[in-house]
Amino acid sequence: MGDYPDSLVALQPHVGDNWANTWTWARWNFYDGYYVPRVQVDGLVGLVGSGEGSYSNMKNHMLDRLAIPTNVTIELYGDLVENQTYLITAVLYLEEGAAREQVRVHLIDCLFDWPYNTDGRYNNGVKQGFDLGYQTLNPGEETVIQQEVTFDGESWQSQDDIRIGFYAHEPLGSGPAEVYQAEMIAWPFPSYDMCPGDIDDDGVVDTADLLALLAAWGNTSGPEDINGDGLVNTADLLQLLSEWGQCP
Amino acid sequence: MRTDRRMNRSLIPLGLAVLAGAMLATSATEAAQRKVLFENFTMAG
Repeated sequence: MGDYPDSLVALQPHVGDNWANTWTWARWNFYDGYYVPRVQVDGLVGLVGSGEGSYSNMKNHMLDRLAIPTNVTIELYGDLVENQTYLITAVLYLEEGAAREQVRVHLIDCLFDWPYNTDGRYNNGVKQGFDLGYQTLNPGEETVIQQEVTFDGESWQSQDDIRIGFYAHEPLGSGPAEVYQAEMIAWPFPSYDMCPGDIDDDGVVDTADLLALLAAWGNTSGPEDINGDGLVNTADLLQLLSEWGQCP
Repeated sequence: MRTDRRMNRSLIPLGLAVLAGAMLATSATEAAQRKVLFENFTMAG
């Protein structure tokens, strides 16, 4: 399904094997806790086994769903807190004129090509998931949801494979439950901070920030690691210089 | 013929309004483009 990178959020929850976790079991039980392998499309249709889960069948279900409008958008950001911990920010927006809506949201930490990928089947294996519960969206307003995520050593060794998924579905306690919107970002994450070069948070990127960055040169975390890649280096210096002046 | 011209003129604002409406509708659709979630439940053998 790599043919539709901008239309698809695909993740692989394991159950009943060494790579299952609390969230994957809960999510599986949310549906029926019985059929596996099974592809659940937008929380609605369960395609069981290789026959129903054939490429053409999955593609048709995806195209059917894409044709149905939605009124929810999701933007995802990630900012380094310390070591291997990031603050993930999800900004949900319900279109103006829509009815006030309650949703149930999940955040998922995935690793591409995990647990292994000998035949291309194991993409975006779920490392850990967070059921962030029920949230109320107001029309024309942004709702900000944040969650700290600590990546394990295995993920940290393959940072380019780290993915963060997020989705909002019907506020139900069991499936099927329609997914209104889904999103996924890859590491390194876009920053939620509109002015990351402003290290001392005084509203302007200036000499004080430059000196702070130089003093932290080589550090592996902290606000001086502007791009959040785990090292204060030339890339951070260049970004700071590019943001020189008043913050937006 | 004069009547026809007047009718044509009166149709211009209507056409513009329809065009603007279509553009707004298009932008609204783009603002909330759906991404489809595939949860691929797997049990490795």
